[in-house]
Amino acid sequence: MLAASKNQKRGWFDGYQPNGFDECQAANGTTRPHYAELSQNLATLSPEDMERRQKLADLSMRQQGITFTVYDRGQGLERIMPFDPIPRIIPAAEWDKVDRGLKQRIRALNLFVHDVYHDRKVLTDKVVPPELVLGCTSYRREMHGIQVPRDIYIHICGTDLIRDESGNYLVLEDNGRTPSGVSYVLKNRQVMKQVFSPLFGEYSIRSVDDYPARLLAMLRHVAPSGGDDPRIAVLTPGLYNSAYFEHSFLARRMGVELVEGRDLLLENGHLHARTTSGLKRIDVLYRRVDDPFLDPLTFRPDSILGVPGLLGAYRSGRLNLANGIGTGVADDKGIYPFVPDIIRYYLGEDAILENVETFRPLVPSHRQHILANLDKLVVKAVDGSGGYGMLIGPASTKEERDNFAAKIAANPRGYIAQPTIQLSQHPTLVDGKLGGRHIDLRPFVLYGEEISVLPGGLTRVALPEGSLVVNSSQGGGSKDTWVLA
Amino acid sequence: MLSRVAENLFWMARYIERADGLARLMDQAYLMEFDGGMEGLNPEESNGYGPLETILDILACRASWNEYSATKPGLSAADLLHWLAFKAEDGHSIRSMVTLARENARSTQESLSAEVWNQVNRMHLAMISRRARGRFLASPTRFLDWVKRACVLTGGLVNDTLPRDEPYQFLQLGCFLERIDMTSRILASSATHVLLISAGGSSGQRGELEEVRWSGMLKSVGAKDAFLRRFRGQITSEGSLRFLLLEQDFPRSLRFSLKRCLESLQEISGSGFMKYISEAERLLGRLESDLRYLEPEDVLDRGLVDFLGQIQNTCSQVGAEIARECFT
Repeated sequence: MLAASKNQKRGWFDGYQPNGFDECQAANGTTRPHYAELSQNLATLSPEDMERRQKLADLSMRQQGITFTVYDRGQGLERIMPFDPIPRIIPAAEWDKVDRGLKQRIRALNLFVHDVYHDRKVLTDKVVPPELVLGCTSYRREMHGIQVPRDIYIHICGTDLIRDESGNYLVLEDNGRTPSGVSYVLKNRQVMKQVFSPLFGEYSIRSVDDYPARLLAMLRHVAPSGGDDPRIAVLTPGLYNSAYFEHSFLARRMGVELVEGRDLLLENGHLHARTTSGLKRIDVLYRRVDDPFLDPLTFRPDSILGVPGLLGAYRSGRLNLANGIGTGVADDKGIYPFVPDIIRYYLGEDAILENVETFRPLVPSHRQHILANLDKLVVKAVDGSGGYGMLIGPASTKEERDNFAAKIAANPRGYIAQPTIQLSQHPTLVDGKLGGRHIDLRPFVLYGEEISVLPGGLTRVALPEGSLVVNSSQGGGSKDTWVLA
Repeated sequence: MLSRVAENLFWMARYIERADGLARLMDQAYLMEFDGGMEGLNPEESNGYGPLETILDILACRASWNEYSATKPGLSAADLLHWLAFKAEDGHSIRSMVTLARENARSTQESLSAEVWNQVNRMHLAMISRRARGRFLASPTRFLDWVKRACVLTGGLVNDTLPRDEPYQFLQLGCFLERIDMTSRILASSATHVLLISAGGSSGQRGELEEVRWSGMLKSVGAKDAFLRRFRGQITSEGSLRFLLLEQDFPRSLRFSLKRCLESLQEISGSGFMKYISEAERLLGRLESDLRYLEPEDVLDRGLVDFLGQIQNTCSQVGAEIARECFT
């Protein structure tokens, strides 16, 4: 078995270097069993073949308008996310643990959000410091005491996972507000089937195609009580939002309207859409607009993306929103270090998926450690996202480190620090050859009548050699992710 | 359906239809440029590029062309053709029309089928690519033919992949209202030229020019073959008018297009909207019954240009009514 795997390394894997934890090859250079067939299938394709197919894949994405918008000097440019054809493969047993871990996490985080906006036991029991929760920029005092349908706040969670040097899956962050990327999961699979069918071979891969149906079932389940046929819509900030394609894709695949703030208004306390045949009530909004922009009467008065009075309909139970308002307290970087405690507190279980070790400058011993090891750590601003406002120690200059040291001293609550995790690497097609590139994984979890995890998720890949930044806004690409049945 | 979506679909269809119409016009005018005797009808105004130049009046964009050509002396008919294909802004060039159609489609993808959206998006990507320009320079006719095909394919996908519900009806409404507007403008422009022809020259020359003009006009709306089969004879002003104004079974005649507009309006109002768009229906209905009982001689007696002006007036009133009642 091992000898055979070694033979297939000829060709595509010539000169390939496993580095850190490699998804495909063990440290001694042998192919992991679940990648053996893929490397055989790859051997049937020549570099020219691959290049031609990759061009077809790009063309297909562009023609379908699977683009995101990047802003450069005030100009919006439509880009496709670079697509890498070498799929990531996850064996069933490995996925089982991830699946259980994600379900445990979303359950605990929902209990936490409910508690924060009701009895606050978690604060009085000193599991999480109250000032971290109540001082968090995404804490919404308007939500205190509000009853939401089925007590579910985080209906859709996109939890970012990475793997450490021994291959353990670790949670890097929870995205419980408006996580994006799921349309790429479905589209990547479609393009893989259309253009790279020879790679599938005998693999039995779990389907991802029913995600929109599951999303719709979940949205119907959480409709305000009383309506037997709830009307659902997707709320988008509009055409110029970078994830507009995804909003439109999900609306189409669920067969519901895609609305913008200017299509909506409040009447008799209910949310309505302006249609060609008058006003039509909406019961559940899958909103892809962030909290501060939802309702100019309550939040940012300059927002033109929201609907004046929307919060009133939500608070009075005439409208439900997915995700709920104020879920940012659960995925805040300042709260993140406490999630294992939160899981233990509500569920009486140990976290199945571990956190990345995290230091908080608020704790004096941590602060000393951080300041002494800035060149080895990753420092993140608690309110930053998308790879912005971050210091990657090993890649930083002295000036940048001094700058961050001053910032941490001035505002210890505003930062956390983590050891530089190398991320796992995965064979990736670069310039007609395979090279190891760092990847992460964003699975999507739905919380409705039951909790379901989309098998796989979005594997993002940092395309520049050695880079650890996978964000699409900063040159990341993506791959299809195969969970084996 | 959402008012905003209805409006976007309406305009998407209008711009596609307009791009199709412009491509046909340009193709025909470009070929007529090679025929003698077409220039000099009105030497003060024509600057020497006859048939192509009439498109500027049909699209009502002569002013922006004058502005453009003032900065670049010595432009030829080929430059005007290029300007109409790629350069003119604000929905006056094919490229600009396709971009506007695509922008409207992009914000309503979820109400279209994926196939329709992909087709519109592909047309846009092809139009802005460098290859489009190369194709145009190699052979304007082939390029324009490609544009027509892309537009027709869009219409075909609309017909074959969308259910006959509101989104479809708004697309139809946009398409046929645009067609009425465009055809009446083309007729008006040809009529003006024919009047100029009949004002001068020998009668033999007049007949020849009249035939070339009307034949070109019929071709530019894709009606020549059907016309010849229907009338089997000489192309005359009366025959051409009868065909493009009053023919009830030809899909590019005014009467046919009006009927389709009315049908779509009735489908839309059938979904419980009657009282709101009755004004648009009334205006179109009145015009339709006019056309039903008119004879070409009546139109000529009344003054063709005035009559066509009234039709364009009605079109813009109907457009405004639909916007007022359905899109706000």
